[in-house]
Amino acid sequence: MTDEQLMLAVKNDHLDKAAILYERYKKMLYGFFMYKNNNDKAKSDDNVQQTFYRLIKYRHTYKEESNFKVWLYSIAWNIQHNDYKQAAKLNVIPTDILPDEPYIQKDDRYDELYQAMQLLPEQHREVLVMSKFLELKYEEIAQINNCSVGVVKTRVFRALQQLRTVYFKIS
Amino acid sequence: MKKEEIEHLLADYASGEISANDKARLEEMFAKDPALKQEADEMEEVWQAINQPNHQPGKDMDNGFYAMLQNEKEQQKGARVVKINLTWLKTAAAVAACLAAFVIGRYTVSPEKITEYKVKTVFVKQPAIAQAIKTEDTRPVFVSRPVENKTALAPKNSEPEEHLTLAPQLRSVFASERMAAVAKLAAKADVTQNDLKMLEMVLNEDPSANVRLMVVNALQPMFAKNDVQQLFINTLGKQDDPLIQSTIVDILVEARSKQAVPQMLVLLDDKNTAPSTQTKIKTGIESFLN
Repeated sequence: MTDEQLMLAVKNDHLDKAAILYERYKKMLYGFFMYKNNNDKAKSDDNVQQTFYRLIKYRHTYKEESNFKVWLYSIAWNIQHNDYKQAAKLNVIPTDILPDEPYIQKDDRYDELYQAMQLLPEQHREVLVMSKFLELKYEEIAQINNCSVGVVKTRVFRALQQLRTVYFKIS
Repeated sequence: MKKEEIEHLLADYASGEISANDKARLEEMFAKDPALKQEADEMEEVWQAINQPNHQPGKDMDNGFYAMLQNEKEQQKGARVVKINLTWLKTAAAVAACLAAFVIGRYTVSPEKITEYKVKTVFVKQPAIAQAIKTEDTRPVFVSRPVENKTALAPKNSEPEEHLTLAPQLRSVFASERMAAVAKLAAKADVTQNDLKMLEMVLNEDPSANVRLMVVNALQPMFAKNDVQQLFINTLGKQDDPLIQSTIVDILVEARSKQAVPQMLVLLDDKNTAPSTQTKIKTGIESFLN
């Protein structure tokens, strides 16, 4: 069954089908939240569960012609965005690398590019993560972020430009 | 080629999402600019080098999800049982009420037969009729025009007579009649300025959203005319129905009508505008810029 067919079954109260969708998407969503939450496992666990809780609770709002992947990642994006806004209010945005800090190679075990990605502006990093790790097309990312495809491509370009500077300097 | 266009092509090239045509165009540019080629190849290498760390979710996450799912399924079952019980209860209560009414009626009715019948006339108040369209015209509303002379010849220019029929029909208290009048106007081979004025009046003042939507759909094929475009732009701020606002925005965006941008911005700033319409406006304005 396709994701859309499964989601329609969930919408018609066949909640067991939600388990299939969970198994298909849990790893990708977990990876996305780990990036967003600076490797905080407990928080990422919680965010994934929140995503599927909302998928079940708001299943009646899913439209038949909608792209399921875009719908699911929109929920995930909103959850992460709300968390970030709350953290900003409390002045506790977690990061293990300060945005203005010059790049420092901490340890061999860290992925060099991963560290460089953490230094990217939030909007640039987000589109890169969504495109590379969530395997979303630029059109789908534009839909989730409520912007045009051109804006998404410009952000990808800027992100890769910055990473290229760091990557080739390291090598 | 614009700088922004090249950046978009490079983004597509690095991620491997580039089409064959765009790749050919880029390669032509690479031949003329080796530095650009180097930049593109380095960006592609960075893209390939970005590895997703192998984050494995723990068993706790799975346990949490399945517990939550089980909980939702129990709640759903409980809701169904409550619904079924309520239905049975209602049915039982209705049957009990009927039986009680029968018993009470059976044992309280007087055994004497009714031999005298009285006739009583009952006057029932009629429900109030729907409001007609408010206009400055204070003349009474007409539903149809009486035919004065059945044998009179039809005039060569039928427009004035047609207006005499359609104008009152557009002011009818019945929405279905107003919609029929709009359909007749729209079906004319040659829509005149007078017709457009009448349609504009209906679009701005008709109390029924269905009638107004019918006018929008009727005018859409005529969008190439400047006065129809201006009509849509002017009416946008006067519409409060989200479906009509959204439909007009779609038409203006599809036609890339940049004169509509100021009016769309006014609608965007209005807090009462529906979020879905605001999203359409934002996307539309962005498409004008790109």
